[in-house]
Amino acid sequence: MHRVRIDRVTLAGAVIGFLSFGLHFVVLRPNRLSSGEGLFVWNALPAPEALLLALLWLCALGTGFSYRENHPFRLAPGLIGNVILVLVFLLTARMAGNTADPELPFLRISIGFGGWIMAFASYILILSSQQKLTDRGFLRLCVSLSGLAALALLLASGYLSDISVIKEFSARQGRFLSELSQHLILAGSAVCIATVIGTGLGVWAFRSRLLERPVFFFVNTVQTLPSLALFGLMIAPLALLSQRYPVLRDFGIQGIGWAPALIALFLYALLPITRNTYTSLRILDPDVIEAGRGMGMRGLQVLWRVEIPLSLPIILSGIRTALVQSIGNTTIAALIGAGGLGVFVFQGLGQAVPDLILLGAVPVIILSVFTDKLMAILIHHITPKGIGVRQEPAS
Amino acid sequence: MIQIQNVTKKYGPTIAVDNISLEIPAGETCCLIGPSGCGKSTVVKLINRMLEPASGRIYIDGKDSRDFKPELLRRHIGYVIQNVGLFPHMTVAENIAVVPWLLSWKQEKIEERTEELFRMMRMESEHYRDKYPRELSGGEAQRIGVARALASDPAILLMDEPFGAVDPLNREGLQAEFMKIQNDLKKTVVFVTHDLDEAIRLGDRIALMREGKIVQYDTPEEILAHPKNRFVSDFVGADRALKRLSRFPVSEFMKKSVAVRISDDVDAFLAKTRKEGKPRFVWLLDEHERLIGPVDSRHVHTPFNREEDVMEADCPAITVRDSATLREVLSRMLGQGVKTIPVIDDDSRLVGEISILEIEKVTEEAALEC
Repeated sequence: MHRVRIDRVTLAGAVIGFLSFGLHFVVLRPNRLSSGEGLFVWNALPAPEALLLALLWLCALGTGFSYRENHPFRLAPGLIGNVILVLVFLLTARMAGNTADPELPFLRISIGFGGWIMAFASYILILSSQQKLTDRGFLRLCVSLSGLAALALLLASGYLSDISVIKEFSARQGRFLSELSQHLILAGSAVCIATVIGTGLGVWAFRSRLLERPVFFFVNTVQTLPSLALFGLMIAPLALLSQRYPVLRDFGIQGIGWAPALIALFLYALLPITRNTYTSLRILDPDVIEAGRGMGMRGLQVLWRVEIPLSLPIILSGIRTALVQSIGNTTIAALIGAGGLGVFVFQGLGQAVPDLILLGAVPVIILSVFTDKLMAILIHHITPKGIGVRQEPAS
Repeated sequence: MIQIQNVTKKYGPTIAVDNISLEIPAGETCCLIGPSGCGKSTVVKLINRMLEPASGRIYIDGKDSRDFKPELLRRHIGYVIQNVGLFPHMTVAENIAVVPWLLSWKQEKIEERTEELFRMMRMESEHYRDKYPRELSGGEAQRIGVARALASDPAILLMDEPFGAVDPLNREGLQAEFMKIQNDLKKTVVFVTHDLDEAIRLGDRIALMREGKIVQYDTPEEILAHPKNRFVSDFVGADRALKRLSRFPVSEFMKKSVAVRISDDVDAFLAKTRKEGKPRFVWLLDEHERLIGPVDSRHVHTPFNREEDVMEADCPAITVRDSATLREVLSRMLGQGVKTIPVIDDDSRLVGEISILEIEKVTEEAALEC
């Protein structure tokens, strides 16, 4: 029979969830710049809604203590987590709508630290269910995405528009979209260039004993530089270049802007791709190559039929690392005028508007997680079944 | 037929193969043997042009190997290497089908051929075809390696220490299977090995190499009986008479054995042999002709009693397979302290017996030659 066990992950989520009650759930500000007043769940929400939240967390705690290896129990934490996740945003938005006051037109209501912690804790519940549903692909997908999908729907239909961060968004929708695409283009093109050059360097380093050391010395050194320093380092030489050859300026190449950012991001992306390409070639069994040639495969056939299928998964996981890393680093590129979502982060920091920071930071996090998963799925599907090392299964 | 004429191969200043000439007749197995670094593997790679000689010619069935593109040449020469080198991302069936695929065979023909090869290797197709190489044992992997090399039914097979990485027990089995297959297919085989026993057992001819040169190229019998010089006689060792026994398959020297099935009238049969006086010992078989044990016809109960009259014998220990050699038989006799040993086939049915007398006869003839 199904043995009753303690489910540590769900339990941890539930404990954090309860702790979040001790922090401010929402923050009320007379205007977007002032520091404002924090409210706990029971002050902010009407009693039934606050009770509902508490009850849900109690249920989560209950499932954490009496977990069984059967379907309802495997699904329960994820279900509760998704509901709480949606509720955190929905209830805050409702509360914001209710407190709207014509006499205080600049009143801002944002999700407080406690609210974010509660959302985070609800995600732990979702992860807990995901872990247990490894054998059920579709259910697993539902559990991991339903809450986010519901939030996206709510967002699109305007239900959440009273929350401060959404107000920040609506105030600069056009700018947001252009910075988002700038962010994606910068990170994406840096990784594209790094893929071409990095795989080349990897092959080169593998083929030539002489080059192996200098190549890895270079890419490793770049990787140890803090990203801010690397962006800064790019400014002087590029400024000098564009001064000497003004024609470069017509292409937008100057000391600040996208050019130094692209170069720095590209240099960062080199290491994972070069290293993984090199490693993938290193671990190729020379006997397999010899057998391929000995069977009468042409050079290109050996490449396409043997070398690439065996090494591609490893190279791709290098690209995966580079992509995630680039999306994060591009945020900092805003400091040297390259644009991207970092613009909002640094504006928010400068003006001390936490919601503006979030407007930049949250999409970056979502982008990274999404890209990572997407690459994981791709790698999973491209890895030949017979190879021992399998990538982690995609969710 | 493979003709190697005055071929030299250098790696920088070192000469790996030094002006060798060698002719391997069609349908024969030539074993290249010698200390490591003697150039035996290089010779094989020169034949399928994985390496190009510095000078000299190699003719395959009378045609200069340089007239073909190396890849096209290799598709018609089977190639087995020591570490097998199966493609880890392809299933067993896909591995076998590589060369037919390169030769653009039709799918049905490839399918048919794959099934045929599984049968030839005595491997169950359904069990193995969709497995991946990492799921195979060493012996199984090398069987698939051989099947892959035979896939396009090439006339020539190059085997570079194919059984070198397999454990001794599996190696014996692979050798026996190779002999059986080679008896049917009659490929022209170049077989590199560092194991003299293997060379003696499998080779129609042995080319003993040293420092890039061929020291002696002869039949195993000749090499064992008349070593050309000190190096050869040292290499074959002082026990060459014993080694020579590996040349003689038991199936050619065994006699018919007298046996009775337990389902037949055992009493009548024993009475008859007692009257005729010989043989004194008869083999008792079960209904599937599998050996139960020896019976002493002079000391049996009447009626026959299976529990008491069959001499207790550990059957696997006192029998040999018909694929064994006289060397194994002798070893078995010495080990078990018996003078006659029953011979069984793959299905454990009794097919004959062999005694120390037959082995003595063979060694006497060998001694005369020496």
